[in-house]
Amino acid sequence: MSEARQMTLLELDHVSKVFPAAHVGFGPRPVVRAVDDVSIDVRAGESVGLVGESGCGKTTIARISLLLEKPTTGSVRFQGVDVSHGSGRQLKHFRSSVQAVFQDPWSSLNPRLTIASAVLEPLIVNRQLGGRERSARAEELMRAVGLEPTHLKRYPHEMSGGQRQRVAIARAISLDPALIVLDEPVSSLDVSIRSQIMNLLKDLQTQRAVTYVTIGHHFASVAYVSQRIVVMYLGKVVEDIGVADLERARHPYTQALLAAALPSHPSSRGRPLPVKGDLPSPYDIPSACRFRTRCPYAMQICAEVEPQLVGPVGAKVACHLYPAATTPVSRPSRATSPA
Amino acid sequence: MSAVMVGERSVASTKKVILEVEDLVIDFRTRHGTVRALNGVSFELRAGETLGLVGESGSGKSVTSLAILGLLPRNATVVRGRVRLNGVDTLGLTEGELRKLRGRVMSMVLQDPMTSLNPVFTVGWQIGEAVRLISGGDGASVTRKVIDLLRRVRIPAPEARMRNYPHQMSGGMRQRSVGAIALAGPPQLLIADEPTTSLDATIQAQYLELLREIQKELGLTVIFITHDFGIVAEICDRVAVMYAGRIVETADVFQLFDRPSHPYTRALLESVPQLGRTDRLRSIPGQPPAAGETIRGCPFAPRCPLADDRCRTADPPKVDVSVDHWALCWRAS
Repeated sequence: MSEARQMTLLELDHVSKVFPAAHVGFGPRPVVRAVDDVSIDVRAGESVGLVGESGCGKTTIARISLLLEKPTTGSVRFQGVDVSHGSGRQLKHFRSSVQAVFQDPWSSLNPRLTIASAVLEPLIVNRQLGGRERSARAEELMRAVGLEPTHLKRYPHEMSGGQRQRVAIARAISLDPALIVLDEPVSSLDVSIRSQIMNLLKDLQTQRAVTYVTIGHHFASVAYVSQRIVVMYLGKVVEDIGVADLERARHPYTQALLAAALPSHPSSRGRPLPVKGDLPSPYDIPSACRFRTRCPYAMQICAEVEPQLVGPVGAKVACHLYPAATTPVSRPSRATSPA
Repeated sequence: MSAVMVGERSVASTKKVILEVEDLVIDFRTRHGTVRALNGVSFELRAGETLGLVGESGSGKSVTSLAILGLLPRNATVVRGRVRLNGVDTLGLTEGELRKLRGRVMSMVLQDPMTSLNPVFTVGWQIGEAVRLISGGDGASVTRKVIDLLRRVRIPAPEARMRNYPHQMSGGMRQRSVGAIALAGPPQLLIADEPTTSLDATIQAQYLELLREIQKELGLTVIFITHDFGIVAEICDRVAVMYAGRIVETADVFQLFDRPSHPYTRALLESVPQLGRTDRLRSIPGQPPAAGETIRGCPFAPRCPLADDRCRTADPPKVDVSVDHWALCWRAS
């Protein structure tokens, strides 16, 4: 095993996910290719953000990374071991090393369980701890996320949205996981609470050396807790870029997302938006480069040859404006034709 | 023909005050007793202006807009205050009189286009319904008007798109169709209640650009309800920041971003992550007061770094910071 491999925590290798869609009329059942041949490496200690708009496949990637969803093709490796085809016992290590925090703290906590039961459940399942050790651990976790030990006796409905999200985070860190997948962790919270949670996430990251994969639609929020950003569009990765390099983003879609970020002062309002039109339907994905229908730089080749994602980690781009991406590959078009 | 009318109206009324909200106090009866939703809200709106009403959930921004439209739910009581639209007190109008104003003089766009549109009618039919109610006319003229409206909100191939059902459109297109219904009047005053919250980033930016263009074309006056200061920076002329049922600060948009004077406004502006900045975000401790919580003194005092005993006991005064800029705070200057 090479040194680089050892450092890789999570590896999505040519992952695709196809969902069957509702059957309309006769003919073959239509499918949605939610994720199409995506490879992402996450190294230990490096936090990666996944951004993109609805239908880009970022939530599917999150669910595949958590093995809540099996990839249709391709594999998921965790610490070098293929986990996408394992089951039960074999996944015990994976399940305790990879945790999740979801968007909605109202639905991710069982309303009938006290906060203590919610936070301790992973410990009861995975660790043999005595009663006293357990309650000491629970109190420590509450303090780590900025809550009081007295909150342990409460039920979820007795807490605010921000407090619930703190509980969800306490539960996620209870087993000292190597990786936490955060799916829109602050989107459902009020503005004045969001920054509390983002600061907490950043503090925990430094204190506990945990790696985050953060999924979100708000570019600046995702970038705040990440070192590297993977930009997705309609099931494909279009760019992989270090947060520090965002000003030099190369893919027109990344540039459009950055330009669409709202200004921090009215003096920079009304910036031109280098994107046009609506998102294509995921049932009817444009051929070759998927962004070409909205791209201000679209050329002839963009409709003919699918651009390849090329470059080193943190500087990959899939766009014909950058010649390396143009190398033709012989892969049949995967668009589902209505004919 | 309506375009000409609108043109005249907007030219004639530049700077005319079209909406005045005065000391509005609204209570809600709930299972847990009476809850004060608005506690003395006052503001003015001039023709052609865009006012950003900013606040978190429960701050009273949506209740304010429902009161203006005469759409308050039954369990709401107007304790005191006035809403004057073109000089007419709308709180005293009957439902029939209000109906004549809605759509023609004022209209509203809500957050989620999926719930504003009826899934079993075509989009064209639903826009046509608004046209028929407002200006009547035969089938052909309604259809023409519908196509015009769809074109106005930049929906490509409107002749074909009008036959679409809502589920056949993308989120951005659906929200623009809702906009077409709101513009059927066309109204003088458009209340947009977080219309872009459910939209993707690039679609949101396109929507805001479109709103700005249409506003200019029609001379619309807009109240934009949002929790996002980025949207305020992008399209608003003036801002009113709401907290716990009150406007705590109001100013011209440049003035507000340059000299935020209420501690809540300042903290909110600094708590939003910006690209290219990695320093720690400012966070506001605690959380907004719960509905029905009794508040003594300034409602923000429990979370305010500057609060002293006076703030915790006595209602804060309205302090003038400069022309058209005031803050509800003992410590503002």
